Amino acid sequence: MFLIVRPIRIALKALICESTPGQLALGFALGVLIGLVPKDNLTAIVLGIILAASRANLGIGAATIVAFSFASPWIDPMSHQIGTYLLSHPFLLDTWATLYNTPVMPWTAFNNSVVLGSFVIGVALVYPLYRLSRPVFKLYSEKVGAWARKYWLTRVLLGVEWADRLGASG
Amino acid sequence: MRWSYLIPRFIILGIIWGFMTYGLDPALRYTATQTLQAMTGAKADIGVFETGFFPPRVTINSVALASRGKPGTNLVEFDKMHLSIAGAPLLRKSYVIDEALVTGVRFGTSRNDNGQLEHVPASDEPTIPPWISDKLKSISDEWLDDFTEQAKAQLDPNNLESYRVGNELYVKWDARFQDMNVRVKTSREELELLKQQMEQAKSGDALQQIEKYLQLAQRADLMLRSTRSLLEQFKNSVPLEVKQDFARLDQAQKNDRAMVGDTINSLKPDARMITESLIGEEMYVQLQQMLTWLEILRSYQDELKQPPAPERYRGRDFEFDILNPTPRVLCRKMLLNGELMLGKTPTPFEASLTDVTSDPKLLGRPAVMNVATAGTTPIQVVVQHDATLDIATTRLAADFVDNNVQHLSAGKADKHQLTASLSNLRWKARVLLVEDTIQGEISVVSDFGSPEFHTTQKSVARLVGLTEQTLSGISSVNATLTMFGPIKHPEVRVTSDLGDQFAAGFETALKSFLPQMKAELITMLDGYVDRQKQELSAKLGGRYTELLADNQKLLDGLTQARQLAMDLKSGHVDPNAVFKQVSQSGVLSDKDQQKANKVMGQTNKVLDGLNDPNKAIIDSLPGLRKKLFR
Repeated sequence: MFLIVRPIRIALKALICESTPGQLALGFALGVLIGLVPKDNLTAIVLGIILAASRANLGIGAATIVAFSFASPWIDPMSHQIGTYLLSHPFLLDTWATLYNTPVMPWTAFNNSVVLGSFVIGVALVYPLYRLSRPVFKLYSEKVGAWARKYWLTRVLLGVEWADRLGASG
Repeated sequence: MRWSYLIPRFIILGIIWGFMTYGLDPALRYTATQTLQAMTGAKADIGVFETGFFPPRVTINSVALASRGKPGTNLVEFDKMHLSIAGAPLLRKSYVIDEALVTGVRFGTSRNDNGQLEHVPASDEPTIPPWISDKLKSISDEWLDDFTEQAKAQLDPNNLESYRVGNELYVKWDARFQDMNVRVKTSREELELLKQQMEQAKSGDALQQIEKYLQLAQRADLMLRSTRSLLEQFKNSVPLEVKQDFARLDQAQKNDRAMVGDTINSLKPDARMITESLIGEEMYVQLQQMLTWLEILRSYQDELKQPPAPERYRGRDFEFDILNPTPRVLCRKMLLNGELMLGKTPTPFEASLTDVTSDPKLLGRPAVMNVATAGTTPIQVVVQHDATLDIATTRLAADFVDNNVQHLSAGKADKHQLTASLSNLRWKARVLLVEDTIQGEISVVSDFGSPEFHTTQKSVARLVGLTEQTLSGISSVNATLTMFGPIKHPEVRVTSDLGDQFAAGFETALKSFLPQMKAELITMLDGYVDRQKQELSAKLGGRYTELLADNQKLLDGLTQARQLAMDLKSGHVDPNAVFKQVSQSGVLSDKDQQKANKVMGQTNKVLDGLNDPNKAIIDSLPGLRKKLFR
């Protein structure tokens, strides 16, 4: 029982409690990026691996991915225009050709206008979203943690730790 | 240890690993099923779908693709397919199959369900082109009826000139003889009447007798002339005319003999019609089968070129120059084995498919399929589809040996029927398809045997037997079906030496039969003509003799009449006594008596020369008559 509950508790703590505003903001920014990019290519998978490998908050990241996946069709026309401009730009043709002849790169679907365009938009938005969302998360992270602890499941899962802390402080 | 960092990541890795291990294959299986169903328009069943990455490979077990046009039947089914995928092209998103092995392939097997998809509208599968059905219906056996009926007509004696002329002569001379008989009979009756009158003339007095005898003599003279004329005719013109008529009859016989040779040529049946009748149906059936399979292959080819579009399409893909371009989809080599149903016999086969690709122009090589079957009917098929140029061409070469005996038949059992058999048929097809046009030929060489010709008409039974004998000399035949034009309705022509051999056989039989039969007929007619000639001769001779005898009798009768008249002069009825009697009666004066003597002398002359005494008496003694016969 302990071996099953403990990993779940730790995972839940990581998702809800033990994340700094910076981690939360990073999760949000990367989530926006991954959410905008179409998912049926290697680009989305690599970005997901990057999200998972980073110290970004995975819960926020996953929630943001889902939310912006539903919103991406409205952004596709702009993504398509940006991607078409970049893929047909004479200055970049050689670069694209080199990438196209590189193994594995065709699987990233970088030659698709929407994929490239949404990737570019997402990348461009990563830092601004991080900077803008960080104070927000800083402001609301304590409130979110308090809110989560209202639920009995959270208290059950986190109860042992709180007991440990109390024991340690006492 | 930051478990709070690691555990979520491990969970994610675990989920990914679990998906790759347990979820990827089912997902790919689902995708493959949906793709195949979209391609075929019917259900697709895939048993097991296994993938491997090092090296890349795919193994699919127990696949059955239902037929859209035949519910409850599979279009194709196979036990296992193993694909070895090339790794390097795969990294560049090209699916290149280095080698594929498909085992247990079967076509047309039955299913447990109907195999239909409700939401996919049904489309027509290739069926028998209507023009082939029309062609099969138009094949007729009239040539066989025409041949036997015409041969029978040639045996009709009325077609022979000698028969017609003979009949004509018989009728003519019969009428002539009838006419002559009537004339002779009439003359005979007149003679009898003359004799009676002569007998009656004896009963009267002398002058009456003289007058009567003179009248009778005049009539006898006329009769004699008529009879002599008839006799002249009998003796001179009639025999000449008969001779001319007999010469005409001989000429008719010669004409009949010469006509036999021309008749054979005109009776020889049309070789093309024989070919169409006997072997045309079999050729058209093979053509229909080939066209059906070509249509199926073409429809599959079109489906591969246009895979079903994804439901959601986003953006546009830009293509860049590739250093070592490879087609998006390429199967370098695929080996298949399984069973084909040839006729109703399952026949094992092996096939290889090379260079099947979505971009033939990029590949630069045509796709080639080789199929070979074993068993009692070995087949070799090679199909080359070359789409490397702007206009795609498909070449098909097939060699096929059919050891089953094929039966040929023409005509109907209740009238005339010709049957034969073909065995060890060696079929060869060479066809070229360019877009929607087809050209090529299907040829067959086979052993020929068991010709049988039956007829219900006895008059041509010998001809039938002779034809059978000559046809049994045919050992092999060949036929070629040539086609050109649109694949839906090409121009088709069937040529074969079967027709020529049969026609030659019929000609040989006719050459034996007709002269024999005609010789028999002519012999019969010769006998008939000879009999006619003999009858004519006998009749002519007989009647001629009769007529001569009758004429002789007439002549005798006339002579007798004349004799009587001469007896009148010689003493039987003495005219001097008559005159004496007349002069003693004082009827005649001296002057009249001298005149009567003069007349008597003239009368004698008349009787001798058979002039017209009556008129002479009347002219000389116009008054004496009145006095003598007051």
